[in-house]
Amino acid sequence: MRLEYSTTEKMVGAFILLTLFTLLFTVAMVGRGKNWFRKHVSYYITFKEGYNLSDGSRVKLLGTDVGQVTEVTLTEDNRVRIGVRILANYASRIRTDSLAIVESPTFIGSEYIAVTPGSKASPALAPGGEIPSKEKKSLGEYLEEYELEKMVKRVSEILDDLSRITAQLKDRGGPLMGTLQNVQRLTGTVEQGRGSLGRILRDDELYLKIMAELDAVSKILASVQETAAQSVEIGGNVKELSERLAKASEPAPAMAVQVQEIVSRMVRVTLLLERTMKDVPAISQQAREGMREVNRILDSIQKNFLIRSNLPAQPKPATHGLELRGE
Amino acid sequence: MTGRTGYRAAGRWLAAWIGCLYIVISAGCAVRPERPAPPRLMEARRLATEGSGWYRKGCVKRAEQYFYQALEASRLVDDVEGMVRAHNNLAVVAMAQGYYDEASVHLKRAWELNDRAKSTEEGPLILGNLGSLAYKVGRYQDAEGFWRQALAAAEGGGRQSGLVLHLNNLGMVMRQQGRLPEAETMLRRALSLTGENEEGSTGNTHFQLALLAETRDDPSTAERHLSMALALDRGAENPRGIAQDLEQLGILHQRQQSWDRAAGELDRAIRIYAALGSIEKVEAVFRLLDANREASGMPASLDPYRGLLVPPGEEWESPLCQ
Repeated sequence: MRLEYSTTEKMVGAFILLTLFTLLFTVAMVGRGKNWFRKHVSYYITFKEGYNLSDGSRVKLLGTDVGQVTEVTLTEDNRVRIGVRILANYASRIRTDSLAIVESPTFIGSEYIAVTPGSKASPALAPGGEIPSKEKKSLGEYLEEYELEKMVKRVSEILDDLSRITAQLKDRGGPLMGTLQNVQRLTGTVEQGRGSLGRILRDDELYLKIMAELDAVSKILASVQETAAQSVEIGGNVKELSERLAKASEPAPAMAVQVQEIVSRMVRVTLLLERTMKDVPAISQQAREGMREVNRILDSIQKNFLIRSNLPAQPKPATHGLELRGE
Repeated sequence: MTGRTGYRAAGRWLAAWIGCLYIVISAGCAVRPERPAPPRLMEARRLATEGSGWYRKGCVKRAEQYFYQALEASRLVDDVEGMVRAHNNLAVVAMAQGYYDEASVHLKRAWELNDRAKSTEEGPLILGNLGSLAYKVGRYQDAEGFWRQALAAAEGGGRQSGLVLHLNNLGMVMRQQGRLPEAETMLRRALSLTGENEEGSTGNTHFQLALLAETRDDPSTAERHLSMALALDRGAENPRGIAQDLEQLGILHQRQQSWDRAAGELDRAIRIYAALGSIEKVEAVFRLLDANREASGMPASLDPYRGLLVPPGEEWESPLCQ
């Protein structure tokens, strides 16, 4: 029996078919954009913590989106196991010596997994395999690393100084060897009765004359001692002043330590600032893009016929006429 | 058979729903509200509106800056009507500052552009401002001619653009020429249009009626109109209008020998004029205060007002405009 359809039924059928076709087309287009129909390969990565990763977080290879996180689970040994799926086209680049690390693009933005491609010499990682991972460094760790570097730098500087001093000491024309040679030359001269000191030691007449001179010097010294006794009082005052000065300068070492601490903190802050400043252009770029996006959304909202009618009307600018009052 | 009937019923039901949906969407599309203007055009209008706000406050210099920006913004989007409006407004602020050559250039340009825009709203206002310019340079006959043309254009255009303003101006020039009945006709007509009041022009209508009453030696009517003008100008936040109303009330009370009231009104008027930087008006009111003091001893001293007589410098900006 042949079925007969009325015009209404045909129209309804056509409408339903059209709707279905539109739906399928939409699904196809969205799926294409979202890579739903492209082949993926699954891998696993294990980290000490989750780093805010969630389903849908991006996986990048050389800064390019190649996949996404499919699952985040906790293992029995209290680690976080991340399931990722990577486009099959790029799966061949994931090798046994590839390295996965969690990174944040800037202070604004979500964490993603950056995978470094392995060397060609290493075998490709089998689907479902575990990509080796490296833990993301915290800010504290960066700082510690910086401190360590600073210390290593200081030690290296000290070693440099030491080697320089040793080289100077070894040098025949250097200060130490030169002084020793001078001393040797002087003692030789005295021993041979040459020079002033040598002659004094070898000549008796000269010796007696010198002794007489020394008596006169003793007398002068006695008067000097008397004068010195008078100076003691003055010296006492000076001593008192010195004590006061010493007392006042007592906290100086502590202050120096504090200043040193402050300076080292400032160095850390500067380092942090430097790192942050590197991110500023990216942040401002993102903010600009965000604002453009908001503007686009607002424009499209304003164009909507249901909303458009409810928008407040823009006041019409006035044209003025000069008001005269007969002055 | 029952199955087919069921399909048919479902089909009809679906068709009815689709029909309803179609009607709703069509109705939504049919009620097309005014499309929002493009952003640049909106910016030009915003600048013009901002300038108007300052002009109404009596801050002509600041208004001028905005009107220039509005002109440039209108040029960018080729908004001819906006350009006409901007030139017209720039002419008004130029006249308010005594730059009549500049005002004539702007009005000429506005007139030329309006030939392209064919705006029935802007045309009468350009004519009205041409009349004001003629009046300002002492060509009263020409001024009256322009205002009559402006009046006819405003009535013909159906937009009544600046109608009260043109009527006030005609009333003023007729009163000054001694044509009091004609002036009164014009002003009464302006008063009857208070429903379409434009930027506080009704305050001026009462002011003109007060002057007319004074000319007719009717102080009580004059005082009544001046009080109304003062109330309207206060409502419109028109500082120059308020100062003019107070000055006129002061003069009226001086004539009535109500020296204390006159002193109070003139005191307020001189301070507002000083705040607006209108040195000629400050000097005029100072002379009135001096006459008041000589006649009645009020105010006791003119010293507080002497400081106001110092002309403001080039960089001076009215405190009302900050």
